Amino acid sequence: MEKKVEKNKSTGFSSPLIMAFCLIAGSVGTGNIWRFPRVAATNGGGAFVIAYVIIMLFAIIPLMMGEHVIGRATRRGLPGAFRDFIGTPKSTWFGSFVWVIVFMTISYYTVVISWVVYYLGLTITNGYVGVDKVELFNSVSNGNITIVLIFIALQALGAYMAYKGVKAIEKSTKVILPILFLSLIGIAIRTVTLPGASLGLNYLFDFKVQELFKSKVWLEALTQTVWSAGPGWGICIAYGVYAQRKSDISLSTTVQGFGDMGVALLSGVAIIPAIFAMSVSTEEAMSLLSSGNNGLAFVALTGVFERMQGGQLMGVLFFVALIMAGFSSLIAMYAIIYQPFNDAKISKQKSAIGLFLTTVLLGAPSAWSIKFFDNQDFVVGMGMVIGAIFSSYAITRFGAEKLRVKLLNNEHSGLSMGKWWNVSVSILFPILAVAMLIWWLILSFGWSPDWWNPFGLSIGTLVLQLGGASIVALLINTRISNATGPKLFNGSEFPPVQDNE
Amino acid sequence: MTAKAIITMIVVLGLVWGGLILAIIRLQKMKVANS
Repeated sequence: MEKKVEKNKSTGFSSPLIMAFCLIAGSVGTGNIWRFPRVAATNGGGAFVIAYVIIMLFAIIPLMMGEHVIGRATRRGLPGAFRDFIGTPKSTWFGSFVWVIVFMTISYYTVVISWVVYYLGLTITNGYVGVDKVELFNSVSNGNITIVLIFIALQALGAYMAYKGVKAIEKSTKVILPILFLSLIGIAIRTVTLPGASLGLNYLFDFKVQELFKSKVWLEALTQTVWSAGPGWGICIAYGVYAQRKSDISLSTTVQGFGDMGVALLSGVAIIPAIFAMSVSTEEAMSLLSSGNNGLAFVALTGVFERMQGGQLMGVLFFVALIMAGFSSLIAMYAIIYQPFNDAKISKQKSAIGLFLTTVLLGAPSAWSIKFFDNQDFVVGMGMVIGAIFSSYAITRFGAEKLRVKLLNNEHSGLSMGKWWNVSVSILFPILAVAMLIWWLILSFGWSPDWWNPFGLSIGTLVLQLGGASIVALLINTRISNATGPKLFNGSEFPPVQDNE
Repeated sequence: MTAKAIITMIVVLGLVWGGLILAIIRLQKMKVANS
């Protein structure tokens, strides 16, 4: 037995700190860099930032701790994790649903990274100087064969990382995180020293007290936390599977949550001052910030880099940071979708090839046309909220108090959670998540008056795709449950890390 | 920058980055204690 545990040590994360850094790398995505700054600046600045930090501390990080416990306790990929933690084969469905959502996410998210790689090339070669930025982005995001090729290459790399396992995740994190932080710090140092930069910082951190009482500010902050930090898409469950039994859970997840916030705030400090410093008026700066994620990164910021002294270097650092953030999340997603194959004892090689082919097939439409991309972005965003509600449900079914006392606050924990944790995970988060879902559904009526249209950003497309994912998950529930290996969790102790062969 | 913006920036960045560094130090200590 001792020998087996020793052997298993080589398949899990080598230390809690490395695991925490891998969790930061997985959580931090492009949303931290291009979404947080623009949403913060256009939704009350400091009020948004305060709401964002409060929600992270009291709703998101606690839920992620619970998800981490689910992964470590069950030692299974998403379907098996929900099956064994809730304790009924029927519950496999919850995990399968989230697993399908992650599949869909990979398929379109890789397109974003492909655009960023392309723009890094353009920045190095001065390819967007003197060119109409909107037309350029349209030509990149629609019918561009180079993008499709980069997309295929990235999917191959992601599948290869899944094939290489947890040690490859550790190695890549050791490279990715320092580059990410250094790139953002480099941009921040340059931009805050630009004349007029303080106006941007003022927009990011100043606020009117009444903004704190606006529901929209809190709903926008909640959306940012859910989509950025990553409860509901399985990263904490997936990485928890590889955590050693004696490592701390609460602190690792706290490091993850604070790291995610740290990168978002650093991005805000790096990007908002640049936008304000290079705009002729506050109105122009706010207009650039209101141009959406793609508009900000590929249209507004490329224009800013073109006008800024040393802008080419800033552009390189910005796109490198985006690639690092995006690719580290891609690695996490591949780990998530790979695990159920491992649970079913399908060979690594077959799994990796199968994953590669499926994601290429599913993502090719998004790589070819931005219309598919926008649709997938909307559907996946809603799917993640539902996934987070499932996690909250699983913890509540198991017993939040039992989980907190027996598994979270164990003898290896360096940060004990009080009873407020139960309230946060079982009551506060579900209420917030349902409010967020309703709000986004109401917003979708504004974008797509024909709400039934299955191809717009509408309720129709949500019903079609998320309903379809649910039906598929239900239909194959028994098969998936049976294919997943036996239950390892006895209800009170963490089993050792399983072989990842 | 207004005084409120400066105070908010210092408090928020201090809380998040300070919290991150403290959590990392504590995690390292727990690693030693648990090994």
